[in-house]
Amino acid sequence: MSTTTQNDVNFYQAKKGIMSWVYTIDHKRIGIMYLIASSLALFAGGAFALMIRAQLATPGGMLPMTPEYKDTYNMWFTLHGVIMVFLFIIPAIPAALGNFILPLMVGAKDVAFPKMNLASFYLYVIGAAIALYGIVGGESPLTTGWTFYLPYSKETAGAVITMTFAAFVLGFSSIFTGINFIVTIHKLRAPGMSWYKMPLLLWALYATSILQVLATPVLGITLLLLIAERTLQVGIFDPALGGDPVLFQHFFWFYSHPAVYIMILPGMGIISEVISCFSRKVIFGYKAIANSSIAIAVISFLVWGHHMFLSGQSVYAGLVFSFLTFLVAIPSAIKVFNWVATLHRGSITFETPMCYALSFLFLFTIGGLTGLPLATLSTDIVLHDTYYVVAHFHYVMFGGTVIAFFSGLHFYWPKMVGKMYNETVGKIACIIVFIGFNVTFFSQFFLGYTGMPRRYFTYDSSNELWSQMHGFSSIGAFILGFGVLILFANLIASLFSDRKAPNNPWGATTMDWETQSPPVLENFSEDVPVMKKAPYEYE
Amino acid sequence: MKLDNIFRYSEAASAHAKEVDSVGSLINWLSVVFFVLIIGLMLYFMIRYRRRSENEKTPHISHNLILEIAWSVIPLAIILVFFVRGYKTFINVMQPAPYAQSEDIYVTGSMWKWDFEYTNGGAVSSQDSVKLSPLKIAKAQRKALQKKSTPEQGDDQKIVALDKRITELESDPKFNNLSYFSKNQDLFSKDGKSILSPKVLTVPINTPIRLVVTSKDVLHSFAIPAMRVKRDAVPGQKREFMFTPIKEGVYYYTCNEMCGTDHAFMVGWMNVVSKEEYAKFKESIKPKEGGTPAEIGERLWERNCKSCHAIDPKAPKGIGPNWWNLWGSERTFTDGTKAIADHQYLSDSINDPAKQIVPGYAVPMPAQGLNEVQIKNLIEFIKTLSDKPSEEKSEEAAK
Repeated sequence: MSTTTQNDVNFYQAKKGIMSWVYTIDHKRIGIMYLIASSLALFAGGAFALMIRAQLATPGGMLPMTPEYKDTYNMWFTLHGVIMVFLFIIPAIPAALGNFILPLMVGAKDVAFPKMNLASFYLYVIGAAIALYGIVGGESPLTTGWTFYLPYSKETAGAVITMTFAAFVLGFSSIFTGINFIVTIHKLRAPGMSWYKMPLLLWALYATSILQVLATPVLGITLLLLIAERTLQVGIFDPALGGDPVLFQHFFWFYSHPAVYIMILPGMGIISEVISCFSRKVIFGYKAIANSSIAIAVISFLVWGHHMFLSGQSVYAGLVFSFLTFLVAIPSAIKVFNWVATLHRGSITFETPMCYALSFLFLFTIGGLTGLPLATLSTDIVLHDTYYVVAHFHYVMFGGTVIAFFSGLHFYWPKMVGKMYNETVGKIACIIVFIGFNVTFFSQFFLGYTGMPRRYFTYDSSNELWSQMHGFSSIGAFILGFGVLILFANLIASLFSDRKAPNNPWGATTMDWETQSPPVLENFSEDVPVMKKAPYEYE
Repeated sequence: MKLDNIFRYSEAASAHAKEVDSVGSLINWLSVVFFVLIIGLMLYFMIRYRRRSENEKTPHISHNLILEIAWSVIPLAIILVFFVRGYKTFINVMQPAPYAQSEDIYVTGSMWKWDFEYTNGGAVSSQDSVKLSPLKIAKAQRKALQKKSTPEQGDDQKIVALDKRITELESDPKFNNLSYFSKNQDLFSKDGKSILSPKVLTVPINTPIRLVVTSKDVLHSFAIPAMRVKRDAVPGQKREFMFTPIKEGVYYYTCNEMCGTDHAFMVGWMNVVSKEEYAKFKESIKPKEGGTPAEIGERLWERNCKSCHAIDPKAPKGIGPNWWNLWGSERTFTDGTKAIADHQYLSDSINDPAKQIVPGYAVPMPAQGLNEVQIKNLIEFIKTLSDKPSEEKSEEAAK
């Protein structure tokens, strides 16, 4: 195999000092910095989530019922959404794990534009700083929800301009990463790696990057128009000025629906890698999975209107969007079938990454199936803007993406830091997260079914079902939070352990595992590493 | 929870609810089947194919075309059924036939209440029914029990229980302050009347109800879960939906689009009553006939003119001219001619809006189809919109 040995100087040791991080253009260091930053965002967003659940644990809540405190609650769910979407879940897999792994996987020394990669990270930091200023800078609390719907976002005194500007800057960070990945995959693949020999994570990141590059500018323009509307009274979205608030929703979801796939596609890529690796078996239906990623990317541009079935949008537009939404379900379903089929006649072990991957299958299947009543027009009338939607998208976003992120984090951790974490603690954390998650969000399906609207800081105290389900949900949230804490504690503890990671602890077949753990400065010791065998060819 | 109730939504009380619930049930039960199949196989494979020795080899099964086609086409066929069944009901509810014999109610959301206007000009507001803190409810229930002409068995115990609850609520200021709707049928007497306020959104049973929804300020969304209806209230737009209540009772409605501080309190009750009860209700909210002509004119403005013509001196420039200080002012038109805004000018402008246009208001007003009396009342209302003291106004009117 490769000529690297454990004695070569890894990329952490190759350069020292704080400036070696500040000015680094090494994709691995940038990936690590993204990982730290987006994990901090996860904790900030998670803290808001726990405060939301604490308030809703009882109908009376923990906050006094005065206007300031009502707005405080409204700010919590807004910031939970803004932070989780823009600061955590969009960058977490592509920018953090993807940055680290993608060049290793294609057999390159770095991404195509390393300086642009660093610029992307600094834009992220600047965006995060602006967002932080919006939260603690003394402006009125932002209470619009993460969707910034007009006219409310124009009327409210909250920190709308600061926050939208933060999201605008973060959008550029996302575009930069996307451009980098597209060019890297096109130009820097190792000799021997044809398109249909790429590991599936690369296909997923490729599809994601296309979405990032094509969709994010629309968000940027929309948010700028919103700022212009607030400051200059332009009259694009505000009906009082002759604008159309529904137009804002069209623009917003034209980005934000593809963004959902920006979030989930990389997660699907990780699951493909992990399931194949821990079944020690070639992935079933490689081409179907690869092509379905691209299919999802294309169709996802055409389904934005399903967020607006009940808005001012034409009823017949709703019909078309309903149909297209059903279509996009098919490639996702195919992926799930393929993953399960990969397990068939495999040789399965249950290390922590695999535990998360199997949790993913369980949770994502629920998330996908519970999307069907939302795509169906008549049942969506009942469920739209209720807790059912909250439950559904948390099953997809947390049960899907975040669980996949945890899976990938445990999978690539030995490669990233060169240490093995405690396997038992990792599995225990996975089980706690799994239980906590289901208790939190399954109960919310029942709330939604019985009409509990979203974004309410209190609820009918005489409705026993609501009191019970909100109670369950709050208990689950704290179990979930506890599980996530153990997970990260276990990973951090591994840094101080002496369990050195071998180069390929899981017996995986992709090129990233041929490098040293952690990799050397320019990844491979050969000048031009060559792909020697197709991915998933287990002996 | 009974198994066959799992997939019912909340209580169903409209004509199309059954179809909605049956599609919902179909989707959910098929989902359960698929979930059991997928996860069942997953669990079975996990156990059956767990690694038993480190040297295990796995077969190279890269794909299986027939299987892959099957699991693409079968789900596609199934979801097409969902799609077709779903959109049929949706269109019936959201795009009701234009001339359907229906009872129309105009719903206007504003921060943070719902206003309902009936075709006879009568109106009720969610605020009339919503400001019900649990404390108020308990007190009102107690009062209603005491006032009962024919006391029933068990009333005494109920009063004792209510007294206990009142004491509890009074000792907890947080709950005391919590004005919230409570799904409690006791709030209504047997003939369907609210024991707190008669001004509750009321609709007749077995009659198609067309709600025309709009908003005064930001987005809201009007939802009645038991009727299986919901639609966004968009400022500047009128959107409608139709449903036919088939069960008498009291059902809650909510706001489902984030609209600010008291979003969670934009809730209230809808009362479905018999047609006779409804006729009585409608009569009771009917605005007093007559009133002054100016008052009648104001209601007309509210319904027909408000979206384009402001009456507030500070309002921004609207689609049509502001009516403040309009009466008696000199108007200059696009063709350079001038006129005093008197009775003749105003009634001409209403009957033939394109005849004389004031610069800056290029969009001609659509014909309003008002009769002579209505126009007269409207002009009386316009006369009141002035800084000048009312004596002067009446003098000018006399001219």
